[in-house]
Amino acid sequence: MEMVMPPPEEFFCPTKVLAGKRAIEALPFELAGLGVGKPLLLFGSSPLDRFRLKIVEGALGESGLVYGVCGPVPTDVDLPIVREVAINYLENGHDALVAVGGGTVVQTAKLVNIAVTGRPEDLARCVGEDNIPGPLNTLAVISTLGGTGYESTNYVSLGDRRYRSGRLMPDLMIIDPRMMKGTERGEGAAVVVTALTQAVEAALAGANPFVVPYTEAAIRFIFERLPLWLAEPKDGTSALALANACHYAGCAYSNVVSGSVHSLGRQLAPVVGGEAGAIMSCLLPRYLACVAANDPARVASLWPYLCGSEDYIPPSVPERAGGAVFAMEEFLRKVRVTMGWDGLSLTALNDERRETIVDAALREGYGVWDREMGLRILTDTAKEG
Amino acid sequence: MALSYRSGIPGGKFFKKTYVALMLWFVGRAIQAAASFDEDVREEFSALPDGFTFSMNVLPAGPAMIVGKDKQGKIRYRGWDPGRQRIDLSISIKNIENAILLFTFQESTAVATARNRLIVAGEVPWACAVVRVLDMVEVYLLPKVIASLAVKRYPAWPLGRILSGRVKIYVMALLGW
Amino acid sequence: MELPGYYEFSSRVRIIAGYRTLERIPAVLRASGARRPMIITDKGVAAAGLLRTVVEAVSGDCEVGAVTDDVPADSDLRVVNALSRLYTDGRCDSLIAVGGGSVMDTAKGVNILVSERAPDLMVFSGAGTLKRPLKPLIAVPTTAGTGSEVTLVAIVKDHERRQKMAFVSYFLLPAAAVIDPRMTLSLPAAITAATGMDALAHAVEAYYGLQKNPLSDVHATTAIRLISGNLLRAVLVPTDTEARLSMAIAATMAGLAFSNSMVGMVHTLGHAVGAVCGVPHGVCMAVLLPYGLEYNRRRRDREMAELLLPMAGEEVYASTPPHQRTDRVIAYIRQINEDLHQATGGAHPRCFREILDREGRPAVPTRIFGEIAEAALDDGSLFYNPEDMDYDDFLAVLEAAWEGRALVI
Repeated sequence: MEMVMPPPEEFFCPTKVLAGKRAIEALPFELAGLGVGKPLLLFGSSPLDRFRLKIVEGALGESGLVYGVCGPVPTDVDLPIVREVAINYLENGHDALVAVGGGTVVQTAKLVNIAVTGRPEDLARCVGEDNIPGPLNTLAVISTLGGTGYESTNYVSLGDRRYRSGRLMPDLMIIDPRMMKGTERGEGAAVVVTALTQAVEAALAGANPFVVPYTEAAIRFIFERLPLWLAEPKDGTSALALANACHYAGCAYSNVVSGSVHSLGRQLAPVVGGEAGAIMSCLLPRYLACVAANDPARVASLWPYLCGSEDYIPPSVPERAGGAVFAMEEFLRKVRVTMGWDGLSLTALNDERRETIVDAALREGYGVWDREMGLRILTDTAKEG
Repeated sequence: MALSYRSGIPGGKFFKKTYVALMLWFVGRAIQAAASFDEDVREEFSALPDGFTFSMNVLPAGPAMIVGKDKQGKIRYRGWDPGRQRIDLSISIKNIENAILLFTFQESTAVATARNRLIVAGEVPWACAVVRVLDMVEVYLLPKVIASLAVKRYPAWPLGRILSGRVKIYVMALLGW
Repeated sequence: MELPGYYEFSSRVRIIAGYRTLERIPAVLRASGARRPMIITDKGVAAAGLLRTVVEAVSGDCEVGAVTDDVPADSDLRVVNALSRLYTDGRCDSLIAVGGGSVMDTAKGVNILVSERAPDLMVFSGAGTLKRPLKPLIAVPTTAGTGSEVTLVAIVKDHERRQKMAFVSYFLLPAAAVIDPRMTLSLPAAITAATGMDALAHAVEAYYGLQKNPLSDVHATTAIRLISGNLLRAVLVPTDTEARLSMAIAATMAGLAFSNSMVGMVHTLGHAVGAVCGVPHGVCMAVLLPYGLEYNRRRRDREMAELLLPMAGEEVYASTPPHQRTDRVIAYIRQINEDLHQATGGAHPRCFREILDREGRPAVPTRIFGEIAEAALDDGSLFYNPEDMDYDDFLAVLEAAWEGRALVI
């Protein structure tokens, strides 16, 4: 493994993970450890969300915790919603936020946290990269196997406002098996593929060694457990492992500069339609192949997680890189087949259209990949059909 | 659907709390009993300072058990209310569900410690001694099948010691001798 | 990869690692609203010229309020009180701790006093006593071993009342841990070897301990890979900055692993040997590590076999039959000790018999094994060891470690 790091690398992951049986019950004690004691719980709008809220409130019984509950948070978050939650938080003297579930609940929580820690104007002032001047109030997330895959990250958006700062990362991530029940296969598969993309991009992004443990753990769990869970969604242990993997991937992703697959995926989604996860499952193997063509050693380092190290190990770096790409292709192909996802149809895009998309992705400002690679990924993916 | 706000409804867990309270009461008296007839338990306590008092309790305000050394060095169960006693060592279980896991033997003391289910405040050597005492008491109280899950290493005591000790500990704990 | 029924993991410290990272400190302080740090270190670090390096790197971009190297080998309450006064007199608003465990503990103690503006540190001892953030503390480790730059614990001894106070709180965590190879470049060969083995012991014990979890596992294996690839080189070519940086990173990573997974009997016995005989911690770890595996292998064989992968690489792992892997791991560790012994001209010991005091006599003589075993019984790390141990078990290990022969259970 290469360990050369010319410029200093920073790693920041302030999230404490509590994962497993009775994890939710640990919440009051953990909040007390952070010096807070009156959280505001946020919950989502589906019947499953309400069921989950009940579980959480049941788990808090006998703890003496004083808390408030606000919701349901709709599936489309806008400024008025954020403002309303913030007002409830401030008027009732809360000092922490607990997001029950992922997706827009966490999105709202992160935005509200900006508004309530400083002043409501901060939502306008703090847009952009590393623009939050001080630590935010305590934020806990009780996660599910679902959502967007950005819950654990340092990122949140509101319309076309984008915020990226380590201060947005949750202080507590509670992963409890009770919250995994009832997860729809489609939602779970999509978020796990997103997490896989994040992990692979983080692994290939650079040489920050502190990111490596997170990417390894995420990729291993996903390769080991996703097929099992897709075959049997009631497999609680696999669901838990995958929820863990999504968290690890989010942490890793928050410590590198965002990569090509994500940006391309975001730009493609409105154009071709379809789930972000499905799109990424098509782009990811092509991305891996492109990187392998330029820098096979980097891709070869993924070989142990994707192919296992038990038996035969190809002796040469190019062979390992090729093996890794193949393993990724196969894995994602099987996921697509299981989920009934179509292949990405990019044949309709002409060259000019592809260039527009790549340029838009580059302009997002988070990519450090080159334009040529972006174009190649799209071209190669189109060839796959 | 519009956003609404409400205060949290504090729930109670009466049956779980009662069960844990009962278990703590019984374990406290079992420790008192074991200290009266078992050499090894007595030896552990003799190494602890005079007036040594330890408690096992459930946070935030849950059931508790206090055991202490009186002036003659005898080990006594001291009820569930610490009152104004100085507690030299406290084993605090972080919440009632963790206490249930412990007292229904789903998690042994070792596993519960490894899973951060409890916090220990006090000198570490005392904690080690108290855990050794708890292990021995559990061997007396529980059939081997369960006790071997509860303790890390089931001791190689002769069957006679275990059986006669088991009778004594139950009788004495229930009658409060 | 194994997923336990429940686990917790926390690594809240911002880690800045690489070349010329010391120069980043003023910016980190400014981001926390501070501009006038007090630098705390000990005489050993100062004598090695490291304090000067830090002061030079930092004072270009911020004003240093106070500097002190008055920290003893064991964190002391009197020193904490004295340094707090120095902090206040210097009108400081932050702390930079340059050194090992004792310096970090002292700095954390000072931080409590100056942040809470309280006269008595004792009031805050225990867990959960601190309720709000303290002043920014930057940790600059100088030994690649302890990992104390990433823990939320501080131990301060009150020699008058003969008490050891422990402070446990998230607020004790440094604002950042700054890893710069300049801090370990001048570490002598024997200390490089010992602190490297300390890191290895942390990682290995974290991997087979009772509290193991996926994140501590991957931190441990990544650390082990780095150590395998760089420890010997760091001893043989002390000026190799890449090797030094890799070892420093490995030590911090091993610190993250064990602070979330706890350690076991190697540390139980190691602490006891250190306390009774005054032998440096890393040396105890090096000698005892193979026995940690041999003693616990009945319950942890599968986990130990997995360690062959980060230790020896993919080819060796794949070509070794699964049932032989643990043996190979143990042999590998003994081989590392052997290599380090050669590389340090015999200064790095392979067994207790080879640890000598200043007069050339054994520092861990067999006649005090009993005392060591007694002390080990009172060490909390035993809780986390997969197997239980009693007095006789400790003696058996000590006796095997005296000559460095394999432990037969």
